[in-house]
Amino acid sequence: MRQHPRRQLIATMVVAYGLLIATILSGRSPKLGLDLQGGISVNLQPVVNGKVTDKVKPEQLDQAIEIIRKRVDALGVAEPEVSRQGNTITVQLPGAKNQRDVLDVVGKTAELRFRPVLSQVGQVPTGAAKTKAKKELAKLRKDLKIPDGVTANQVAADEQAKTPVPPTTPTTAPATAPATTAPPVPTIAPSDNTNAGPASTAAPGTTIDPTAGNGGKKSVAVISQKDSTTTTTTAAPSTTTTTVKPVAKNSFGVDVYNPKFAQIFQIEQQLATKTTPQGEDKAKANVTLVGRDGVVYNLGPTQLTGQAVETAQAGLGQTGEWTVNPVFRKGKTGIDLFNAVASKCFNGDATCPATPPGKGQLAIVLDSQVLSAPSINEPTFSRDRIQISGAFSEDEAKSLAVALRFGSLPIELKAQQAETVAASLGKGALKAGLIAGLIGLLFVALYLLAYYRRLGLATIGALTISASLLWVIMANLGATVTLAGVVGIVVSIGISLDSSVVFFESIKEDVRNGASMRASAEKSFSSAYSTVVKADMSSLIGAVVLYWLSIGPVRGFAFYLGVATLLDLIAAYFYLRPAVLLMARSKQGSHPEKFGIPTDDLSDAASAAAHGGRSVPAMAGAGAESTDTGSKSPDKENGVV
Amino acid sequence: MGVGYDLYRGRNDFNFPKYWRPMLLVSLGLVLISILSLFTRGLDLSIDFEGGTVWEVPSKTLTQAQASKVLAPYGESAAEKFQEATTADGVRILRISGRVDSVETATKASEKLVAAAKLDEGAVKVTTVGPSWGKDITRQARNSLIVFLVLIAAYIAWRLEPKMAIAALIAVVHDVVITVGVYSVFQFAVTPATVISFLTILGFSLYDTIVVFDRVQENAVRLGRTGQYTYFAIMRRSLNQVFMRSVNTTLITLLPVVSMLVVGQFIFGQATLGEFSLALLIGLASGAYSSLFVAAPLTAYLKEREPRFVEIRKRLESRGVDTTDTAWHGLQSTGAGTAKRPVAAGVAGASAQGSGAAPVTETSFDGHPPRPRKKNKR
Repeated sequence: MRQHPRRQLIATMVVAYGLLIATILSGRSPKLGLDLQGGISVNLQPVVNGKVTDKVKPEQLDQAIEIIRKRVDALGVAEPEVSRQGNTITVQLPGAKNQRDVLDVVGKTAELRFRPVLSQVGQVPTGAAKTKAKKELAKLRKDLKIPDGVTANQVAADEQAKTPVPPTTPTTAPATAPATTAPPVPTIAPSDNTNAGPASTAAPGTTIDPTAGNGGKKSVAVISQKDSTTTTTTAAPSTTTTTVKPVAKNSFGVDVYNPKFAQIFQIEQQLATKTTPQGEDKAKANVTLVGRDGVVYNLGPTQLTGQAVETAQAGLGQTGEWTVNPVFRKGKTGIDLFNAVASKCFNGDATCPATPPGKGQLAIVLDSQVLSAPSINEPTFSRDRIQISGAFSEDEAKSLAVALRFGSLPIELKAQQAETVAASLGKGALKAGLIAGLIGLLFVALYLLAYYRRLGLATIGALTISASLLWVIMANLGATVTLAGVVGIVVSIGISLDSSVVFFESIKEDVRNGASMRASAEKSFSSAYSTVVKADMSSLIGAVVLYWLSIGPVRGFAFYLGVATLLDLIAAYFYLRPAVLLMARSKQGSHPEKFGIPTDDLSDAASAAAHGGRSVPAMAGAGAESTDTGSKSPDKENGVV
Repeated sequence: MGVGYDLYRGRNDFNFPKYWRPMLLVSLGLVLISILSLFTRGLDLSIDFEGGTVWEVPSKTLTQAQASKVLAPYGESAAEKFQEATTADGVRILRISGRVDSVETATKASEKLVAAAKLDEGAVKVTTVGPSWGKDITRQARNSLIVFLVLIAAYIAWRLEPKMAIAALIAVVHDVVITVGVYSVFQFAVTPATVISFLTILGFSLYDTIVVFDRVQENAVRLGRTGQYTYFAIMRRSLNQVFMRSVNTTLITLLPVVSMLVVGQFIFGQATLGEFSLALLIGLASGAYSSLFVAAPLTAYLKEREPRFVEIRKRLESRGVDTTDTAWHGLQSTGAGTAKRPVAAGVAGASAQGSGAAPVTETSFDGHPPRPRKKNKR
């Protein structure tokens, strides 16, 4: 590579600009921070008796983050971010506008509650399955050309209204015209049994086996004494119906008899399953809540809270399955409360009816989400010999144990800092920052060109290389650009241009001392680069320390300072050096004044050396001091005096 | 020929040592004033450090009196300060800061403010900081500062020279104290943005100092070996060599910062940009200055007391060389090591350039400095 600056230069440009073009084509771009795009950010810290505390276990905070994440998801904000550093939880909601809503959602303390299961009312897709279902729904709707904002239910209702034969008789007239037989609300035909969602009838409220969708992978959790293990298996449901081919009559022009319509209907019903909103999840009320696996439960009033639990461990049971072993507190506030409800559930009391083939279930609910709903297999338990089993994965068992353990002492989070930025104000800040930065850069470029002439061009080229790479890194890491980040980038430009300045000043000195451009370019680079590396290290140390020890805007700033410093080192080595070498070796290399290196005042001999393209200053009086280029002239004075 | 002419041609030979003592006294004075002001006047800490709320309301109609009235129920000093700015789009922004340090209360207050200004929900910028949050930020900044200084000192001591590490640290502290001092004397508001800028100054000041010291170290090894130069002379030579670099780099770094201050704050009315750039402007200037006039002399005074340089000085003096003349005479000029030029020639040359500038004539230019090279490149 050393011998081929041209190749190196081209390779660097291809890589840097290529990556930039690839990134732009892929449509990725850096995310804007809240201060630039508008939105709400809240910083929360755990408090005890109103005072901020450091004594909270990281896993407890992580659990709190999980809870906040779920709540925030429910707000419907585009790209919410919940993160933790130390004991501070940062919630960032781009585009959010109502700070009061956000505070209500984010700052509420989560309570662990035990509620008896009254019935299971269906299943909704959760997590990835939900996203998948939504996507599928969108696709299906497009296939059938259902207009936006119209639900399948509306279409069905419309169809129903326009059908000559009233829908009350669908079963009685199956043999007549197809149009009359078609039920306005199609009975379900899950043509696709592998679908994550279980088969359900269109009418909500039908009881569904919760395990159906899992293919029996996860059985109903049970609570039992430690030495007994129970598993239940359920047959996967298989509902199939035949559909007829009638003519659609609804005003939307949707073919409701297409099997896809049934699917749409089903998915929409699933997604629309009514659950109790978090604000109405009162301890003493009956509620409808969703479990982790998407099963929807009707639940009775809270029987006991996490305060009854002393601790909980996850462990491997006798059969090698993951189980959770909670230990309740002694006496009235602990195990007695639990046993009271346990016996009801075991006996199938009306407040905790049995769900065949198992006994009654007791749901463990944290923050309006059913973590697990084990059926109770014993009428009474001793407080430290309780086991919850049910084909848990290790993670599930551990997170349930954590929930039970910290349920006894929920942390209270208080907003310590909050910021709302109107989108218009954020955009103004971004615009100002960019324009100011560009004007500054323009002046820098003019100055460089004026002072270093053609070398200034090389610097500007190097700047485009590091700018391209910076953009690539920001876009692909999904890093957030804040106003502090913009300032960090602008400041680091000065630092990164310094490597050029050190390099050029070194060349200038050499040439003025009588070396040729050719000879000095390579030599000066290694000496200048060593200086720059030393100095850049100080910037890097600063960036790392800041990133590591601080939060909020300081971090964003430190990140960009660090990245820009590294890119400076890369651009200097792989672009600046070969670019300057090429210039020095070309014909222009014989005219140092084109590089901002005046030779007008030099002695003829020195000037001749500088203008001559020869690398070894053979003539007397030239480069006498170049100790490591093998200069043979012993003493400069000899040449001239 | 003017100074600029020489600078552009790298022929400057300013008598830096001559200015060290007065400059150090000036620095000391500034540091004392800064510390005094810090204790008497203190800093105008923004609400981010003491808890409170800042509202930025883009409204043409909302007056200060109206805002005060709206905020009155939320505490006596709910609205303490008012500022007005106009953005590039011609929107007037009323900036109100006060001591509402509960996020919940501030939320209610901003809803009222939004209603009073007849704006849409969330169309303002509100920042609320709880009372302990500011302390947290301060503690973090302090911790970062200490860790950073310790690491940097270790790094300089390892790569360059322990005495340089001491001098560099003193120079950095000098820069920060003076910058903070300016904020105290003129009572500029200190915000988190300012703190970030202070931390940047640390990095930049050290960067500059290291570039200077790297050259000094290079020269010290090479020229020190000849036994012909006092450390002062080596330092003077080195500083002259890096002078244009320092000027150029500082200018290049300052241009965008000035642009952010002028364009960002005054044309676009972005207060945060102004906060960043003002501290940077002061700190960068101070950093460039302290590399040449604080870190360098401190190192020189420390090194000059080393036995090796004490001996060199004594030997030179015994030979009748004027050691107070630190002007550059080339490698051989003061040297008696080679028989080619007598000592007197060097001294004569020195007196000829008493002004401190290098000789310009063709014949005497031959004494142009050799470019020192390091033997072992990394």
